[in-house]
Amino acid sequence: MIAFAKRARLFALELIVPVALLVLWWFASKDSTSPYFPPLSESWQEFKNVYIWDGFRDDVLAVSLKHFIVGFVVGVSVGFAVGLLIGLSDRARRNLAPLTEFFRATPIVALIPAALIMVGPGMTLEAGLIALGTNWSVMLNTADGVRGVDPVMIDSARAYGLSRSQQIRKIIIPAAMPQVLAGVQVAVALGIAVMVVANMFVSTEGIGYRVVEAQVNFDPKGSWAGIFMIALIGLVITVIYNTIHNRLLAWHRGWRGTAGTN
Amino acid sequence: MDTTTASASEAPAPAAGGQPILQVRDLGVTYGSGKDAVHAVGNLTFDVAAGEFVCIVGPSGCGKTTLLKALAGLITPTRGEAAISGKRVTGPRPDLALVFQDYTRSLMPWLSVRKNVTFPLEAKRLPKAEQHERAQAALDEVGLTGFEDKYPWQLSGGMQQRVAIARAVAYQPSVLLMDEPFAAVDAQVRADLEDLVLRVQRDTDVTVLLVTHDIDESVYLGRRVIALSHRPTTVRRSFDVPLPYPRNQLTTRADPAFIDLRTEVLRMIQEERLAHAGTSGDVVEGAERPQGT
Repeated sequence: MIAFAKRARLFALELIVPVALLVLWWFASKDSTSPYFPPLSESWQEFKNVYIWDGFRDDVLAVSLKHFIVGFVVGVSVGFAVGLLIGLSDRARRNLAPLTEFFRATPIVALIPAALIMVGPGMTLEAGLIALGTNWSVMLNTADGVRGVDPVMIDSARAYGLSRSQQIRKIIIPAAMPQVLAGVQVAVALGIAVMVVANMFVSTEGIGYRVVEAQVNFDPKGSWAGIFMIALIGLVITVIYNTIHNRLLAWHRGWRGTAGTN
Repeated sequence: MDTTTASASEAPAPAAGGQPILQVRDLGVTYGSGKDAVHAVGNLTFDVAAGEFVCIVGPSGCGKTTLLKALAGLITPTRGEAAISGKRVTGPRPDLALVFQDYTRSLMPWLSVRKNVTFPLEAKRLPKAEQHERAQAALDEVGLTGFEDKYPWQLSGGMQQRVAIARAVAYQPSVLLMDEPFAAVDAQVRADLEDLVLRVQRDTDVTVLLVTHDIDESVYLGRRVIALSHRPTTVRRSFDVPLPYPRNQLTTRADPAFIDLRTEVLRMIQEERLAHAGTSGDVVEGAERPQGT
């Protein structure tokens, strides 16, 4: 009961700040005549007009989110597979190190101009950029997680006759999962950012493009409406991610809480 | 050296005089090479009879963990060989189970207690029903009935080591190796676990080879105690324990024969330590940890 009350209070606290800021914004901007700072009520109205539901369907679902999902799935899968290989094999790690270091140090958005010339605009380009953007954090975290699996755990699996592939599937991957998901968490944030930026620069549709379009047409309300949409997309994806994370790693929180106490 | 030191060529015979199930011949393990070589195990020869309970004691850093890993087929000995039921150990095998000292590292924290016991059986591709049956029987045997669906980290240290023991029991090995299995728990729990292992050994007739640094424990548990020398490790001496089973924490430990024997073993280990005081021995404990295995 106490734990529940405490959690409810924390949750309320978490909500209070954003809600208070919104209320403050609503009233502070109520009588604003500045073209750069429209009343929140008007931006909200614009949001409803544009994005509920036609804009949501045409720009968000059909373009931005589709690119995000394709790119994210490809990026995370490739990152996981290569990370596993690097974590398991010293030779693979040595051979791939220069490449991984180079790409890790390069902001993916810097590749947009070159990629646009090579690939041309469209789904392939945007999903590809998102895949590149999400790939590295998953790969490097997976490799670290795999290398960090306790050798005693692997020895017990070996002693009990698990084949190499059984060791990988039943011991190494689950043991590395907390770090893999830490990489995925970073990838979620990076993927959303790349999705928006790619829309902005190489597209004539999609949520990022709508924001830029509004800005070019000197339409701050439209810009704000787009920003609300982006924030909502980010929020929903994060909530989905957290749900999956908590389900997969329910054991991890408890285990970490008790580690070293007995 | 005194006359009781076993020479490499003549294996300390099992007390029971039964068929040896485990034969170790001139076994040696060296980590590294050249100037940096660490002779973790020098030259070991001994036999263990089927159904026997043998404890191995020795000064710290004498390569006890390395020995068990070589017997379990986790590392390949540099010299000599070990054989179980007449077949040379070349890798992990289905008739041998190993219980590690540190249950927090050998139990899988993402698996329930039951799953921790069944995963080796799953790997063996036993039918689901049999996996379940064996796991339940083993968990009942170690007193964990009702904890099957908990995670290991929700249990106390002693109960976690019971899970590790249940996993070994459910595997139904003919040889059970235990590497200082009670070193991480407090004294009361330790006594309970000692009696648990004695009971398991009696019930299943499994052959147990248990490594410990606790001399009282070795005498309390074993039918025989094999004392190892300092590095490079050899069998210093094999003691027959003249105490009847079942053993009892109160009466066995108060038995004059118990006290005489533990004093004798202790004296020998201390001599061994003093003889090597200041040499490399005590500081190379870390060399027992896995490296390049």
